[in-house]
Formats: sequence, structure tokens, C-alpha cells
Amino acid sequence: MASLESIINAPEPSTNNPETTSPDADSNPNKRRKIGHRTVAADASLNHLHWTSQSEQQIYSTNLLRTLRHVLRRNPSPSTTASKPRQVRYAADRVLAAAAKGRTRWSRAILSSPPPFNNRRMLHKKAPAARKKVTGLRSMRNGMEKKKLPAVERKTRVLSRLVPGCRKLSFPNLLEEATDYISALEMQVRAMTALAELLAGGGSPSGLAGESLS
Amino acid sequence: MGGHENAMGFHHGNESILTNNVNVSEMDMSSSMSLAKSSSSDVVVPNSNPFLASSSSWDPIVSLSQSQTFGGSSMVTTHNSDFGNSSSYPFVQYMSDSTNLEGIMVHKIPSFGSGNFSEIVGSFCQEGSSDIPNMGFRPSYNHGNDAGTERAPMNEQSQVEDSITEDGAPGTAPSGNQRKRMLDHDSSFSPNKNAGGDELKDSPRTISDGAKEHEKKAKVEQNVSADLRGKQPAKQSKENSPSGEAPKENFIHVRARRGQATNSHSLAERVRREKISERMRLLQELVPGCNKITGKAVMLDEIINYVQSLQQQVEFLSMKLATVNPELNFDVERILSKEILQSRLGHGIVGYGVGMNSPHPFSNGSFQGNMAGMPSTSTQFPPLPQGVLDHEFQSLYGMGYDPNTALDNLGPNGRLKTEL
Repeated sequence: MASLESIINAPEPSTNNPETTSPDADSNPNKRRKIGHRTVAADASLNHLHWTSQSEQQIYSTNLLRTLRHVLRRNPSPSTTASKPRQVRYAADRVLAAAAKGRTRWSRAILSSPPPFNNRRMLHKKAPAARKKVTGLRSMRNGMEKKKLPAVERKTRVLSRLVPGCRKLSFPNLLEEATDYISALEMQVRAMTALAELLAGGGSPSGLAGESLS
Repeated sequence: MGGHENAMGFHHGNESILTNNVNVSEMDMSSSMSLAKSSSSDVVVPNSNPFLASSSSWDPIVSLSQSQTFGGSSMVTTHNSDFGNSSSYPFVQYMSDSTNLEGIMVHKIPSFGSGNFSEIVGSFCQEGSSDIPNMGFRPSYNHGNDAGTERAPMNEQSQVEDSITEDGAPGTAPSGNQRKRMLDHDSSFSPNKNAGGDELKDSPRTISDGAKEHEKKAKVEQNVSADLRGKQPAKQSKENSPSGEAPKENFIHVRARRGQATNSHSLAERVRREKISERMRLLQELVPGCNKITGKAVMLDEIINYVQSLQQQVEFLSMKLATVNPELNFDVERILSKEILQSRLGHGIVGYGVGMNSPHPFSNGSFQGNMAGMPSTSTQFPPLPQGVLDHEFQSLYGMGYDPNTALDNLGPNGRLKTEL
């Protein structure tokens, strides 16, 4: 399937541009003040419940299976490698985002994100994070004040980090994206569970069945 | 100044709308009906069909104000439903976020005078004329004396402010009323007149009807919130309209609720809060176990936890799928596709079932305990493997295999355990 190839191969040239609608929203922060901005209005019409339909799951399962074949064929390494699950996860997320047909912000963000880089990037990440924490504590001790953001705002930030591509989104839009994202994730889990059931069952020898029969 | 704003607003608008507005404002009250019909048809057509389709008597007004795209314009439709339910509300109030709306809205309404209002409004409605008589404008508009006296001073103000009105006297008299509509109102009428000029600058505005005297009797309602007296119709119209009209409008027409502040800021706040609470409600339904939670912070906590757990599950599953070799399972795809074609009990699979090794769900010891973290998914176990495996079991073991035992065999972890 040509589209599948594009899903897998798209990030490699790394020239992906996010969908045109997202720059619209970002470049017009003034307009966002108006209730019902164009992109929001378009999203408002998207029903997050379409992820619960059986056909969506079937389509996703089929696409995911083919994508998995591509991924695992390309990388026939032993299963001890840590990168394999990451690639599988990456492919599964991309297929899910493709199933969203680009109507949601998180799906566009997923499709435009680069493929996972192995090992070195993760090590580099941890060090600066540790340093930041120490200085944060010191400043708190000096000030003796808790300059914490209001609880709701803190949690909003956490949520915006969890949902891809939603860091600078207004609260109601963030909730809307989160709704659709949760529905999509649930469908993804359902489909992958079913797929794992089927495929894993095939991995084990059928000798058990033979024994039980006899 | 308000008038200046109106001028600017008109400049932003479509030329066609402007001319149409001028035409409308020139209409005499008595002769408005025929003119209104023609002009409204002229006005509505260029904008778009969804407005016609919504059978709202205020559609022409909405479409007039459609110089730019609006969002959440559904409020206009809710006006109708409100009117249908409560005839005691004689007038319409609109709140818009843009200054453009005012002048245009004003011009659309100007011809509505006392008594003829319902007829005129009805003439504008191309489809849902039944809604208009319910608006209750008729009875209230017959209080001619008060209307006349109160309108007169407003005329001057409106004339000053309205740079676009090029009408003669009869046209301006009603337009004066309409100009007032754009202003925020408290229940008392006279203070608003003077404050009107300032109010025009506020971004969300409440446009009151010309019959200000009735304002004291019947307070305005807010359309945006679900607490309208016409609760369900308002909700329905609000939900219906976003699909059709949201792409067109950026403004929500809101009316203040009875006994609540009609300050433009508080109205906007209320709109915003309603949006947020509606989305939180949707999320509450999605996230399991959040029915009793009230409060944004706790709800957000639950949402965050749920998203994290879902992402973890995906991580688990991807790890599991990575160990699986999909090459051996060409038939899996066939199973998947046949599920689509032959809902659940893949009849065509029987032939494959006999010869297939793959779908036997004998447990891989590796994944035993991991499924415990997915209570929701196990309960929603997809029919795909069940249907297929049911049939295969039947074919393979020749037993009276029924789907119920298949479900039992699923076990708490959602894995099929065959007990033979």
C-alpha cells in the first residue's frame, strides 16, 4: 500500500511540514480570542466517538499489520534489541495518526515527528534535567515561598505534554484534543491486543493442540 | 466611538451585505414584508445555504453578519427555540465578539417596529416561519407610547453613530432602536441609552430589541449556557449548529440569563466556562470511574493518569508485537479482512481453520501478568478473535463449542485459555 510506505518512510527525509491548518492557529493568537476559531470550529464537528466503531478498528488492524511486516522485515534483528519495540510503537502511533485523517492536532503532530533515535539521545537527556532540579530546590529554600502555579494550571501543562502537539493550546481546545486522543488510544490498545493475541498464538507450536487432541 | 466602530465594521463587511442592509433599513414598516422577503433572499443567498437550512428566522440576520467567518453562531438558532418556548420574551438580544456585527445586525432589524415586528421577522424567515410568531414580539410591541418616546432620543444617538445609514426619517426611526440593540443592557432602559456609546466598544455585546420597555418585564436570557429555559431545544440547536454554522461564524450570540449580570465580560466568561465544562463532561464519560468526580483539578488528575496508563499499555503491546514474527501469519490478514466481510463468524474461515496452526491462543508465558493492567480493554475484548476462534474450535475439535465458553475461556486477563 503506497500510503503505508509513506507513513513509514515519511520522517526520514525530515522535510515534513505540519499540516497547514496548524500554522494558521499558531500564527494568529489574536484570533484565537474569538470564540470558535476556524480550526477549533472544524474540530468541534469531529466526533471522537468514531474511534469506537468496529470498522475503524479493523482498518487500523489491517494497516498496522502491514506496517509491522515492513518494520520487522527491515529490521530482522534478534528480539533482544531495545530499539525494536520502539520502532513498533512508533509505527503503531503513526498508523493511528494516519487513521485520524489529519483532522486533529495530535495526529498531525505525530505524523510530523521524527523517527526515534537510539541510545545516545536518551543519555544526554537525563543529565541536564538533573541539574535543573538542584537549582530549583535551592531557589526555593532561599525564597521560602512556594511559587507554584495553580494546581489546575500545573495539571494542564502535564496533560499538554502528554498529548502530542498540544503544548500551546488553549484549555478548551486542549480538552477537546485530549478527548479524541483518549478515544484513539483506546482503539489502538484494543486493536493491538487483538493482533497480539492472534500473532502470539501463532508463535507457539501447535504441538499443544495436537497433544490435547490425542 | 461606537459610531466609528460601526463604520469600520461596515467597511470590513461585504459590499453586498452593505447594500442589502441599506435596502433593509430603508424599508418602511408597513411595506416591509414584501421588501423584506426580497431583500432577505438577496442577502441570504450569497452567504451560504446552511443558514437557510437551519430554518431559523434569524438566519438572514446571521447571514448578514457573516462578513467574516463566525464560530458558534448557533446561538442565533437558539434564539428561535427560545422564542418558541417562552413567548414572554419579546425581544432578541445578541452578543457578538466583533464590532462588525453591530452595524449589520442593526440594519437588519431596523424595520421592525411596534406591532409589525412579528410579521416582518416572519417575512425574513424563509423556511421556519413558524418559529417567528412564537417570539412574542407582537404583544409587547403594542405598547406604542413608551416605545415611541424611548426610541426618539435613541434615534439621534444612533444616527450619530451609524455612519452607514443613509435612510430617510422612517428608516432611521426604527434603526435607532436597532442601534440600541447592540448595547449591553441592564434591566433599566434609560441608563443604557447613554452608556450605549461606550458599550459598543466591548467585544461581546448584547443586542437588545427595540422594545426596551419590555426589558424591565422580561430579562434577557443566555443562549449559550444549557440553562436556558428552553433547555433542550437550546442544547439541540447549539449542538446542531456547530456542524453546519460553526465554520461560518466566529461569534456567539449570547444572552444573559435572568437575574445575572449582563456585563459583557461576565457573559464572555460564562460562555467560556460553559465550553470548558461541556468538554470536561465529555471527558468524564470517556475516562472510567469519573462519574462522581466534581472539580477540574481532580478530573485532570484522572485524565492524566488514564492517558499515561493507555500509553503504557501501548508500550507493552508494542514490545510484545516486536517479539512476534508476523511473516508466519499471512492468514491473519485474511482473518482480519474476513471479519469485516462476514461479521464475526467467519464462515469462509472454516476451511482455513482446519489447516491452520496459528490462531491457537495457547499462552505465551511471557505475557501472563501484564494484562492485569488493562481492565477496560479486557472487558471490551474485540469480537475479532472470539468469532474467529470460536469457529475454528468448532471445526478443529468438533465439539458443541459455544461462544459463551469462549468468553469464559478468556479469563480475567483477556487471554483465551482453552480448557480441554
